[in-house]
Amino acid sequence: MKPSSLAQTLRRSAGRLRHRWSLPYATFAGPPAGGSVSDLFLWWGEGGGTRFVAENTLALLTGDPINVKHRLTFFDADGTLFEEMDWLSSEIYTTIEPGALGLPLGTFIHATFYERSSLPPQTQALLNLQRAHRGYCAYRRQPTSVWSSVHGNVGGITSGATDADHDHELLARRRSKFLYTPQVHLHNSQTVRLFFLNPCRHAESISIFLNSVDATSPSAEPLHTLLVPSLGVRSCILQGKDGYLTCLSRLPMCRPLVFVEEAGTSDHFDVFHT
Amino acid sequence: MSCYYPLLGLPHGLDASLSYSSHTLNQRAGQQPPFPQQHLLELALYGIEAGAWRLRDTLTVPTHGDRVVLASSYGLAPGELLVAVPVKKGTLLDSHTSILPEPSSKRVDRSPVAERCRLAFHWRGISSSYQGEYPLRMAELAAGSFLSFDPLLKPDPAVGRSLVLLMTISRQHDPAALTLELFDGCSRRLLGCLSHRRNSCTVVEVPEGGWSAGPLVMRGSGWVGIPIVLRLSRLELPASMSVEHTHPPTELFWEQDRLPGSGQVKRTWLSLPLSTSSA
Repeated sequence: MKPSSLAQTLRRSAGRLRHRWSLPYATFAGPPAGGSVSDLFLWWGEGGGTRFVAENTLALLTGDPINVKHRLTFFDADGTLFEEMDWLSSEIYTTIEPGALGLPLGTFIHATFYERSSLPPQTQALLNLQRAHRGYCAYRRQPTSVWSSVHGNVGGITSGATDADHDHELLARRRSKFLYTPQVHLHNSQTVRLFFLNPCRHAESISIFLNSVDATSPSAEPLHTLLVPSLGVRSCILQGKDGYLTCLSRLPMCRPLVFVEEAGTSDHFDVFHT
Repeated sequence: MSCYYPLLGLPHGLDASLSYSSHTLNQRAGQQPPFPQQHLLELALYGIEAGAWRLRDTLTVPTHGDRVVLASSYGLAPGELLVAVPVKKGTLLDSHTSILPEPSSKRVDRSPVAERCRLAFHWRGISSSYQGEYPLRMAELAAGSFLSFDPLLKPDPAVGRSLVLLMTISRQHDPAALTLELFDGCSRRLLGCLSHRRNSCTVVEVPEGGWSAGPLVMRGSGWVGIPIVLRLSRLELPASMSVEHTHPPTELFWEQDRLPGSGQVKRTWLSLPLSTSSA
């Protein structure tokens, strides 16, 4: 290692130690060589369903079509392995519609696998770059609605370099307690579904408070308290509320995925991550 | 990292808004009750006029609440852009300036996640939004490059109209025209060459079914920008829509590989020679 690289590494390590309370991922853990790291995505089996747009990182790196195996690994709402499905493609972005899985609510991760021996040497070298899969999910309120897209949120879930490896490591870590206040004003006329996903190794508790816009002091009692299992998801529905939400938790980023339905509409909802 | 917030002028029938709150987004919880820290702020709305920034309005952000700003209130033409700059209440602002003021930050500690506001789009009585921002760091770049793909433009039978809204905010305005190339990522055929400008929003109407069979790639050199993809339902269907921005190439890689990985992706696509033939 060059002296300048060593100094950089030492500086980075010192910074990570000093500010470890604010870091979403384990301070020194790394993904497996040649593998990938995925966000944790929401699977919503109700309404018009879920689809996913998966990136082919090696094709994006080289500009050429390269065969990739996309693997989506599904977990039920309690974080228990539900199903693993593979898709083959050479496109730079592939739309995956798993269809009805028999899973009303769950999570999934995305991994990519390449056949190293079929790649030219210079392309093989690019497999050493750690791929992050933060792809795009889309949800529909009705089967005839526009797919409403939202990108990945937080995850840090590793997959190995070969498709025979089914193990995952969870790099997200619990932090000091945080307050997270999505920058969205909820209104009485809305039905708001909040989905909380947990990429950490242990179940995490979330308390949800409402800050009324005319309040001078906070509401001391949470609207909801949820215990979200590792790799699982919990949701709650809010109706007739006016104000901002604040989430109190030890999750690395307690950013709920939000579906907002306005009264009087039947085909549209506003989908966004916070 | 403090941020600017864009207010976009859109084609007829569409409107945009931003809502900016007084609450800190993310902070370490102390012993106090679970209430985010509040900030006494104003939103200064600046737009380009005669080659420099002109203050169009100043709006107070209520404590414990938010300020909603609609693009249609300012009569913005399609592609016109105002920048909302959060500033401490009572800050003296220049009515004309060559450099956009530095935005105030609501950060109170080193908690992760960039500051943001709600950026919403309105059409046929419905709204779709994302939690967005334009980082100060990006607005201070005099150079750079832009590269974006089409994961949000995948075929959808309910979609009747798709738009890509590309915005570039520069603290120091430069009126020079910028080149935005659109091309087919498979055939490497140039589909269009558009003139883009700093501190404006280029509205790209993507034809139903796309321009070509291959993936759409957008690129430019010497500038940076953020693309937002807006998809609207077919007019004969009940209204529904989608809004989201694409990830920059850095998000394709994990931690220490972000820069080398995104650098390689950019080198590949920015240097691709394109053909102009239709064959």
